[in-house]
Formats: sequence, C-alpha cells, structure tokens
Amino acid sequence: MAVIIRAVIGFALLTLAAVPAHGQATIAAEFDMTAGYSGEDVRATATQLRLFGRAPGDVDFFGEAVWADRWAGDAPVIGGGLSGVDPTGTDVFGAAYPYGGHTVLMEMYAERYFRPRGAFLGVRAGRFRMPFGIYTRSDYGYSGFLRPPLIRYDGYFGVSNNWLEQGAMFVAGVPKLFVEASVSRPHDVGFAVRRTGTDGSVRVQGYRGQFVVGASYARSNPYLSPRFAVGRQAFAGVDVRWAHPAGVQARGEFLKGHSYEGVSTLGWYVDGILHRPGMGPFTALVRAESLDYDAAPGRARAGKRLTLATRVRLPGPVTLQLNYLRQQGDLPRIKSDSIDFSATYSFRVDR
Amino acid sequence: MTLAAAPCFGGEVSGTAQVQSGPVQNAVVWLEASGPSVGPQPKVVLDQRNLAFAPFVLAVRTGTTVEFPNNDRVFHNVFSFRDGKKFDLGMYPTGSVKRIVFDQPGLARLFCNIHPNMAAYIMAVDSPFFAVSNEKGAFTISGVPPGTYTYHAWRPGGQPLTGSVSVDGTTPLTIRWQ
Repeated sequence: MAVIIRAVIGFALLTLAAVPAHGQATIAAEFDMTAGYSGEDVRATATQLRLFGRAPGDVDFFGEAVWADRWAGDAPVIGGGLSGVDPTGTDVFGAAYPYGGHTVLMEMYAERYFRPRGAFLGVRAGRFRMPFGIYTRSDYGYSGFLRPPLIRYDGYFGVSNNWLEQGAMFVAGVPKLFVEASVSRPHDVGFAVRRTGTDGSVRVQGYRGQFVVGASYARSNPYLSPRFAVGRQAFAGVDVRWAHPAGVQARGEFLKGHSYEGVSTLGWYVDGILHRPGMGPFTALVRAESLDYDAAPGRARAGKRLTLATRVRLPGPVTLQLNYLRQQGDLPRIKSDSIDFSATYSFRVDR
Repeated sequence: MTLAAAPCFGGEVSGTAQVQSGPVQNAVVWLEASGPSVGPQPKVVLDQRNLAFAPFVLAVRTGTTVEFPNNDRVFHNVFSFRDGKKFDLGMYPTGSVKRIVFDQPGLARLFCNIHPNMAAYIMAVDSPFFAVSNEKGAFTISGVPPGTYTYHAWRPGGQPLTGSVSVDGTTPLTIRWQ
C-alpha cells in the first residue's frame, strides 16, 4: 500500500509540475502570537508562522510551523493520563493546533486548481488536514472558540483537528457541488497518534442559497493501543453551514463511527454566530455540543457542553477571545465550568 | 496638500500622489462632476485569493455592482460595518461569487470576519472621473471635458484632500499629503 501512496503523491506532483507557467509569482508570510489563560488554571502561549502564495505555473503553496505550550496549575487533573489525551487533562486553547511544547510542521502542500468551462478541478500534494466535515485551519483557528468541538479533539474518540495526512487530495465538480477525496498516510501532531497505514476520505459539498451542506466518510488505523483497539476506525459525518444576510450564521457537524472495532462514537456540535453592524468590533458566539462514546462498562464516556463566547477585533492586528463554558459528563476535564481568555497578535507581509 | 497646477492632455488628467517621503500608491483621486451619467462600471471585481483582497483599494462609481469571488480553498466572510456601504456577505465557499451594489458614495472598509489580516477599501464616488494611483504614485483620469473642477483625494491612513483643478492641458496635477 505504501507503493500506492507514493505513486499517488508522485502523480499529483507531476500534475502540478506539468502545468504551463503563466501568471505572477507571489509570496506572503503571516505570523500569529497568542497568549491565553483559562479558569481551569491553565496558561498558554502559541506562535504560528505561515508562508503561502503562488509559484510559477499557478501552483499555490502553503506551509505552516507552530510552537505552542500549556502549563497547568496545581489543580487536580481529572482523567489525565488516558491514552491519547493531553497530560494536562484539558482541551483548552487546542482548537486548531497541538500544545506539545515543541515546534511542529503542520500543513505543507502544493496545489493547483483548474476552472475549465465552469468546472472545478484540483489536486493537492503534501501534508494537509483530512477533508472530513468542517476541517480547515481557518474554521477553528480564528472562530473565536478557544476549544475544539468535543468530536474533534485528541483522545475523545472522534476525529481530531491534530490529525494530518501525507498524500494527495483531489477535488472535482463545479463550485456549487464538488467531491474532495484523499489517499494518504497519517502524520499526526497531537497526543493521539494513529498507527501508520493507508488513510482514505471522501467528502461531498453542495452550496445553494444560504446553505452549504457536506457529507463525509473517512477510514484509518486507530490511535489507541493495538492490544485492544483492533480493526480500523471509520467515521461518517454531515456538516451544515447557514449564513443569513442579517449577520446571523450557524454551522455544525454530526459524526458517527468507531475508533476501533466494538465501540462507537456519536457526537455533534452547533455553532451560532452573530455579527451585525450595530455590534461594532464584537462577534457573539454560542456552541452547543454532545459526545457519546459507547464502549465496555467502565470505559464508556459522554459529555455535553455549552459555550458562550465573544471575539473582539481591536484596531490594529489584535483579536481578543473570551469564552465561558459549562459542561457535564465524564470526559477528561478539570472543572465543570470555566472562563477562558486569549489575545492574538497577527501581522502579514506580502511580496 | 499642495496643488502644483492643473492639466489636461486630450481630455486626460494625469498627475502623481505624494507624501513627504515619496509617491503614494492606492490614493483615490476624483473630480466633482454633475454632468450626464455614463452609468456604473460594467463589471468590477474585488478578488479574495491567498487570504487577501485584491486590489487593496478599489474605486467605483456610485451604483456599480462589485463582485466578490472567493478564489481560496477556505471560506471567507466579507463585511463592512464602519461607514460607507454597510453589509455582511456571510460565509461562502471556494469558487463562489457574491455581489454588492455600492449605491451611495463613501468609503467602505472591508474585512473578513474569519481572517484577521484581510482588509481592503472601496471608495464609491458620485462621478465618472476618478482614478487610483499606482506604485509610482501616478494616476490618469480619462475623458474629462475641459473646464474647472473641484477634486478630492483620499489615501489609506491619510486625511481627505480637496482642491480646484483647471483642465487646460498644461501642467500635471500633483497631490501631496504633508
């Protein structure tokens, strides 16, 4: 299977290189620096450096390096030490990036898109986030929520935002209806690291009026120990976005599947986003979510959360995020409610 | 602001926009004109590509429809709340286009509610005679009938300027922010 993966990557790179060159090359660099504090007595800092742009031949490229770390106080950690779970026992600040205290190369890819007669075709080769549900860095890194959805974090028996793929991804369709599919090997950067093997995913997205609807399916090897996590993990999901011109938006995902044979996961989240002219720099957000992991007695876990949040765009490149969450269940956590805060400074240089 | 003189070469007003340190790119210059309408521009695009708006400054005539295509592989959410035309396009995906009619004069400051480094300006002017300066600070306004006009100039981060210009085809127009 490794031969197939290499062949797919090679085909994708050849496709990218074979495109006739025209257009102007561009490059941009973005730098983000974040500092945060959680009512769970956790402090965090993070930096991200991105280089992206367009190379000759209309090939777009993207690369990102991050460093982030968290420090927990003396409060007892409930659930810490579980397999694949952050040892601080919390998911705070982990919306889009790992907080392992070392530099990590995240997504690094080249891609080329074509628009022949209204169609939408593309190929991406390198390291990227798996096309499953609402999956891009932008959807989580800048949303205003300081935690990932429960169904998208390390060790929560769902699909982690810290899972990366190395391989190729293809897009085909028209802008209002297209299919994304990937064939790859895992290159996970969080605490839940899947065993190597061949990963596959497919996602269909339709866009009409105020709605964007997607359906996804993905398979890979489990992240848990092969001593008991046998077979393959597989997840199916549905994602929906809705945007009203009055400044009201909603998005969410529903996910069902299993992390290995003999267990099952069912979860969802819904985000509400309010951003109207009278609100000035403020965006108001709310998230309701649920995760139900069904396994042998003593191993099953479930959790529910409600998060109220605001994001404030200050003059200049500073953004503030303030979250209040209330949760119940037996997922790893320190407290049943928490107020979390972070400030992010960003700047960009174009050439 | 210093106005050197007024120009016209075959119905064109050419000149440069400057600050003390040199030429100013993305300065908008327009002439007050109450003559017959020539209608809005046929198709004007403010692109979203590589997590940026292009161009950074766009000038349009009042009544013009501006297209906002999303040519990135991520969602964008263009909005303008502060002044000028106020709107929020909501999230929309790659390959899609949304449109806004700029039906009132004024400056719209555009941002993306997802990506903090995305910003742009659209200046809607109630005149068919306008231009945006290039990287050398140069601009050209075409098709201007001879006469005397009140001109306006604006640039990002600068105060609006106003003056008078006589279109007589002799001297370039120099607009300078102190």
